[in-house]
Amino acid sequence: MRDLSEMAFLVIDDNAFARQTIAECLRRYNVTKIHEAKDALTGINIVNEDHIDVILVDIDMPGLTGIEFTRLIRHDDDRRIRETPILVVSGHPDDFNVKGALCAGINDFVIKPFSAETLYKHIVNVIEKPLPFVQDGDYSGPKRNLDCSGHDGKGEDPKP
Amino acid sequence: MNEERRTEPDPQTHVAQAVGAFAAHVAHSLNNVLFPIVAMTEMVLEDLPQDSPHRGRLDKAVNAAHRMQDFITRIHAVSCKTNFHMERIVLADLARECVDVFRNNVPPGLVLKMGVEAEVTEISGSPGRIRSLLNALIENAVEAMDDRAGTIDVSVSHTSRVAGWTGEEEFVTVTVRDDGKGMDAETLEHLYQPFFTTKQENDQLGTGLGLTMAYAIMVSHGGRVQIESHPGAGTKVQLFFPCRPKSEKKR
Ligand SMILES: Nc1ncnc2c1ncn2[C@@H]1O[C@H](COP(=O)(O)OP(=O)(O)O)[C@@H](O)[C@H]1O
Ligand SMILES: [Mg+2]
Repeated sequence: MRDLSEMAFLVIDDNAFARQTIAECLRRYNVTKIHEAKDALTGINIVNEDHIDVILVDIDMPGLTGIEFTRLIRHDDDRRIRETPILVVSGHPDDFNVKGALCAGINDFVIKPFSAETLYKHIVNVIEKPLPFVQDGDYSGPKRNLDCSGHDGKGEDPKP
Repeated sequence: MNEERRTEPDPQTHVAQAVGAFAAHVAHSLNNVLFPIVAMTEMVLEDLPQDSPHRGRLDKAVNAAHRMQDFITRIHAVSCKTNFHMERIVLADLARECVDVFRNNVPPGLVLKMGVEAEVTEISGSPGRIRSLLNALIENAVEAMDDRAGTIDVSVSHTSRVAGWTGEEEFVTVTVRDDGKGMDAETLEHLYQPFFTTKQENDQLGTGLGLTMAYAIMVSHGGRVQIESHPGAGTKVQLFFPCRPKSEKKR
């Protein structure tokens, strides 16, 4: 079993129940350093002030969406911030908007409702099998072979 | 026919989009509410001693929550026909994944077989939706056994030309066949109707949305579904996914 106890997590979700539940799931796997933010801007401030090892972010939030948040992180000047693993935790019942999130540079996604174990497995997978980080034109993030036309952040992201 | 240019959106498309957006919003909110219920209850259940009398109660709660989750997914898939993530997928892999999950949970006496002929052919589809669709079909097959012994056969193959269908030439076909109780003509007639179910017993409570969803998902993939069944003689459900030749993949 992978030890997560020394890693710092940031959980960004506008829904307080969801935030608390994610935190509870993390504590179950011995995570002790958990930062919570109810919107993406607060999340950005936390990332700039504290060392964060893994970010869990919702997609649909008032203000900046999880996709816009990811793009900002992936284009940060500080390499350590730029390359932080990001997992999307979304309540959309299928893979809606996942392509937008992948094209913004997330590492993985988990769909709510999920169990603590499922979340743990996704986190471990991202940490243990990282994809090489690339910066290729507008794209900055884990290397994937995806056609991101229409998801380059220049137009509007599709709404549900 | 005159060739007048429309600038206004087609009212029907407009309504469909509004319904889709509404369904997506409702599904998203409900899943957020369901999340603590599922996650917390499962945690408690894991920590409970094997012989705890609470185990049975919490199992029921978790099952109810999962049924709710199915319900949300199905309502959403039926009402929201656009805006999901399509990618190149190998149906054989997806089907194998779904069958493996069921294999760990099927009642004793039930044999779940998997046969693959179309091993590598790719189609364009939404992995999330196709997973929901295959799960719904396998679930129906399991339920058709009424706890008796039986066989469910899931296969993935190539088909050229589907009867009564012009246009597409090549399909990847997923067939789910069971030797369960089958269906009478009355049931066959109402199959795709939303909320139509013959499962009204407490231990087998239907949503009546499995095949409604199957139909909607196949339409949004440009495909088709065909069902053959006779009382006492089992059921065969076939999904036809068009597989466009590689050259047409990119627009
Ligand atoms: N494999 C099958 N064998 C027998 N009957 C089936 C099968 N699949 C579907 N049916 C019939 O079609 C009805 C509608 O199926 P579905 O839309 O999945 O809803 P539900 O399973 O929730 O009732 C079922 O209630 C059942 O009567
Ligand atoms: Mg069903």
